Amino acid sequence: MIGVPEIICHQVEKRYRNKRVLHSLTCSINKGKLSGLIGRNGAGKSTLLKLLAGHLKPTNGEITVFGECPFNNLKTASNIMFVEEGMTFPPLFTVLDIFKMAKDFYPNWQHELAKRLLDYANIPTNAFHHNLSKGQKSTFNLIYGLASRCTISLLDEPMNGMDESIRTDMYRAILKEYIAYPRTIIISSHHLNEMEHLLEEIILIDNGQIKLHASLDDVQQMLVRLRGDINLIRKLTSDMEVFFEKEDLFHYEVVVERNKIDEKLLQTMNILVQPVTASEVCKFMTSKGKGGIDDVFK
Amino acid sequence: MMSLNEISFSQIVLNQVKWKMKAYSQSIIILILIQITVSILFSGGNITMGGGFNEVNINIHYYTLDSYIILSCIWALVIAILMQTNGYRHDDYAVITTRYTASLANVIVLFVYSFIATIISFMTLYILIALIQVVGNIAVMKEYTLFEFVHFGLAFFIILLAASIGYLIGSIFKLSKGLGILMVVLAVIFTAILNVQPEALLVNFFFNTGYLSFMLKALFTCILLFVSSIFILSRKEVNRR
Repeated sequence: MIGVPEIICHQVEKRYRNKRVLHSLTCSINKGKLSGLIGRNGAGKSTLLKLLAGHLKPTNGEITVFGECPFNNLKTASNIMFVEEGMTFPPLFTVLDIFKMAKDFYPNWQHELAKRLLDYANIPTNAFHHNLSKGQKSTFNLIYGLASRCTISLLDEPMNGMDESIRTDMYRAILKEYIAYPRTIIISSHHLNEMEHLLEEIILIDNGQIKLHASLDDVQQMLVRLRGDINLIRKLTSDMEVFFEKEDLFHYEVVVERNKIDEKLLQTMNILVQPVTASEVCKFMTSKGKGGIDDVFK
Repeated sequence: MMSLNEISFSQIVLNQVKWKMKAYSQSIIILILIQITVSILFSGGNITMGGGFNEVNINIHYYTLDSYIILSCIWALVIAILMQTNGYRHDDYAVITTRYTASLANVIVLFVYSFIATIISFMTLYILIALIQVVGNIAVMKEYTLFEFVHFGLAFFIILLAASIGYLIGSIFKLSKGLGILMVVLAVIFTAILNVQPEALLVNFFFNTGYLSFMLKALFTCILLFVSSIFILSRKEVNRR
């Protein structure tokens, strides 16, 4: 039943000793959504996924997955696959042994699909996981995660270390698996632009809080770039929140919320209105200053 | 839309035991190699008594299980401690697991491995005795029956005790290295101040009332130590990097 929140986080706080990584984090994720968890380095993406997988327990607040707390919970553990860079397997096992082991544990395990994907990625079945290169390890981990066909798949930076072509292929593999067997998939990444085409919704996390949780369409429509005469634009945007500002010899541009402007009026004033990609929206919404890196050199 | 997997606790534990047995199987080979090495280098750590009368010298060699059991105990202690290290614990999270299923599977594996280690200890002694008779052409007299179930049970529980102590030590150090070190320091201070010999206390506690009583006491102690370890680790977080 799509629409029922499968994952609920309420006022979640997570501290590592004195460092507060997540605070007052509240969100709910519906069943069967393919979501992107976007954020800068250290924003708290991995910590949130580890909490959902039951690897960590929240310092404060409440997390429920399938209506239950995921920490030390067999029901959630049986239905969540958490893929991350630090995944390890017994060193004595070849990748084929690992697949055989997974077959014993996961009722929906797709053995033939896993082997075909492994073959496609040129990973020999007699290789040991710890001997694989960084990119191969990531590929293997992702294949393992997809073939397990769990109700919830949490993929933490799954493409780390992969080369360009296998990244594209693996994104396609995720999409094909999702279309064939819809389930909740959350992919965390810094690179929204390369996986934008897959996603249904975006969860933007910044400084340990959810900054934005909306559908991809809404995010793409959220901001616009205005280019034109500096004085005119400054006058028009004086009472608006400016997310980005850039000035050079010939141009002046700002990024503001789309619903705050009147596009027809701007066109008559010779101001160019350009769309802002979802990736840029996330970047601007988590920037420290309005000018980006240029501010540092001023 | 996919339906939820319903997997029972026992099913997960059994699967984990099956795969852990395979994953740690090299440790059995290590034990065999250690036992063989000791047999070759030290003749099984036998005790020698010498005596003479006129021109006749008599050397009596006692071939016992003791050294093999001690080696198996050290092996079990180390294996149990290693099971708690991050490398092994993180492997558990590659498949369906909770802290309880993983710990219980570890305990079952230690039970099975202790049993195998007991068999290996007995077998090594038998092979050594056979080799002495065949290759060395030396007559061996048996002081006791070569195999007795009571001896086997004793050896098994001694090795299991070592494993459970190792598992608890590993758990305490896993919970907090500072706490682990503190407990070791306190134990040393305690024995030094009170001038007690812990090994004498333990031997007295376990062995002063007969074999059956020892086995019951050992079983109870093992269960206590394993349950304590499972409890200690039940709230431990996992952070694979």
